[in-house]
Amino acid sequence: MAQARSLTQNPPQSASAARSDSWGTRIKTSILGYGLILPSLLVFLTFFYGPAIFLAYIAFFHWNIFSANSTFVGLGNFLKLFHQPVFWQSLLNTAYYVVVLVPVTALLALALALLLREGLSRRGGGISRAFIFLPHVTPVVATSIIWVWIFNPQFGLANTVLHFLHLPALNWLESVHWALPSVMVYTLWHSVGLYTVLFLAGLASIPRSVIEAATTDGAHGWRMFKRVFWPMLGPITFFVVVLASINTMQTFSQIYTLTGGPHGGAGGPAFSTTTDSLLIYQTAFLYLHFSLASAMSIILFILIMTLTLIQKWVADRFVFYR
Amino acid sequence: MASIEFRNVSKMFGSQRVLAPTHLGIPNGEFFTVVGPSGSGKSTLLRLIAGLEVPSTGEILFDGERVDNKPAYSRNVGMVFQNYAIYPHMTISQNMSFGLEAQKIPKAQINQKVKEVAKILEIDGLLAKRPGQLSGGQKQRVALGRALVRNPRVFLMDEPLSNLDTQLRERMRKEIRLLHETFQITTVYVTHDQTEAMTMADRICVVNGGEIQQIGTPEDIYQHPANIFVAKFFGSPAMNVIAGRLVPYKETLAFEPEHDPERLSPLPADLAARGREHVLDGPVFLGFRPEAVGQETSGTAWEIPFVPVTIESLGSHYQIHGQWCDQPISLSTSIRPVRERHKVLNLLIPWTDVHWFYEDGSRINFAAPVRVRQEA
Repeated sequence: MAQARSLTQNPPQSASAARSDSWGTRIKTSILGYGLILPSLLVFLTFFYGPAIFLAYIAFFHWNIFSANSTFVGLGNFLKLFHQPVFWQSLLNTAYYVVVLVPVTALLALALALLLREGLSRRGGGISRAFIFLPHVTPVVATSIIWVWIFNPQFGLANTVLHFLHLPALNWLESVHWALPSVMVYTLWHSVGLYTVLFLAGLASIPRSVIEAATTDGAHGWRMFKRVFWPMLGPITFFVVVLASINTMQTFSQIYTLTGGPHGGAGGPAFSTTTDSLLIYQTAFLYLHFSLASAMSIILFILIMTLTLIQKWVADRFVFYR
Repeated sequence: MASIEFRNVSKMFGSQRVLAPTHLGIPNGEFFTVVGPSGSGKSTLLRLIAGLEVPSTGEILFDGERVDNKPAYSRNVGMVFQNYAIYPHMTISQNMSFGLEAQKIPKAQINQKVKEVAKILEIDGLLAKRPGQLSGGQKQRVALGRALVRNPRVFLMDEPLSNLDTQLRERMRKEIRLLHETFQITTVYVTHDQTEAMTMADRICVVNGGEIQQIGTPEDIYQHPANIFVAKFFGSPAMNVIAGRLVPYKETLAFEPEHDPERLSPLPADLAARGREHVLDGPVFLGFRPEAVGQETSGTAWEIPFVPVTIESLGSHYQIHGQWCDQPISLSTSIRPVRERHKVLNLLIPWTDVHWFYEDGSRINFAAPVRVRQEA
């Protein structure tokens, strides 16, 4: 009873109390809140935002890791970049890599997801899903080395398969024309499982009754895909394309390992696999032109931002189902 | 429009049987409701007709033509789902024309048909809207329209009204019935609501535990339930069923209730004679409807004691819940009861209104020939 009475009497008291020292309470609450996020904020500031801001800063300076005096050069680093053919080559390589790889990855992942959806109810469906996802959990550097062997022109598996299919053998990583496509093949193998699983989740989120209603409405096969699955997968397709674009624009490890590795020469032959992230790495850590590398990073950042905004604009216009 | 026939159709999910081998015939143009508690297999029955499930055994025929080997998309059934299942990315008119487009009908004809059906369903003002802008009742109409516009061979409805509020549900009940009268399409209507089944059906099929309990007209099912399950499933409050046995009593037989063996109820002579033929002295269940109490009768009546506990007024009539010893009894009466709780009353139930059931729950039909009882 006493408890009940105090419960009924408390509200007016606490209301007036809140009114009188609302500032004090608010500040106390804020201090506690900031205190709680402080540790992770510090980690982020030290290792993420800090370097990022510092990077943006040195992009406008002639900065040297071995000397304390750096001189402001304005857009000088950017102008210098624009006069280097290898920079344009790297942009072109990256564009080629992204424009080909993203649609191929998305389409293949979608196709695999549709096949798996059919098969998941049958025996072995779960195993096939695991099988397709498995490459994605392997370390890039380790499996890249295996693919170096696969792409070996003399005794690699890739040429064995081509020979079996009565197709001419290729020089793969040693060819100016095929080196970047070889990297694409590896990346496709490594990443398609992730996007397949994303598409599978998208398919699973389509209400079963809607699919059944379409079935009784006479839809099947291509018509079912075009009119029901595809429009209802709109949001997940957008997500997959954005994620794949960002991931491919930043591809580094497999190019580094497949085309040269620690022995040098990565990005070859003849700069044919030098994408911008590889060029940034080489400029900064091989040639120690940190300012130039920073300027390149900023350009890459702007490019990724622009691409994502364009994709969002397209999605807003054409993905009308949310 | 088509008749539907089930020949020995059963359905297993793995090792679990959801529908026992079933024979069923639904004539062309009938409004057939399938009713049962959740998990009884009634939706499975509907989905088998639609082709969304494949039968484990048996054949399904439309107009004598086998369809169980045909995929769902080629059966031309119109289906209405409980959650409407409207295509969220299409406008209402696109939703309704989707099925017709699959039939490769000219665009102008499609538009005309959609407008026609939309007008009947009073959704012609919504055709340009998207499903997200519609209320539940409107979505339900769209779902009906989408199935109707194709002029399907059979119309299948899976609890279409259970997401609507009571008033709207009653209105839609009437409208669906009217639509059926207009279009005369064979309709199979699944519901768990006995009122819906009773008010809408030409014939009702009662399902429980994957087995058909009884098929009949609403009156038939109410007045001559095939077993205790059906007897208790229809009617609110449910039928009072009392366990006991028939024992010799003087020249005749008497009913000895299990919960109150002291109180023997002697049977009238004609009943006793027939009772002797049918049940002898075995265990038996007697049932009576809540509204059977106190009815005028020219014959004799069964007299039982009753202690009222709660009285519910429903305006037009009263529902009284109480006990005979510890056996719960419910009554329904239009006469205003004396508001005196816990006072023992004597109830009179005309013997003609008493339902008899064997120990296994099946109905004892006194008119039918004597059932051979298996002695242990």
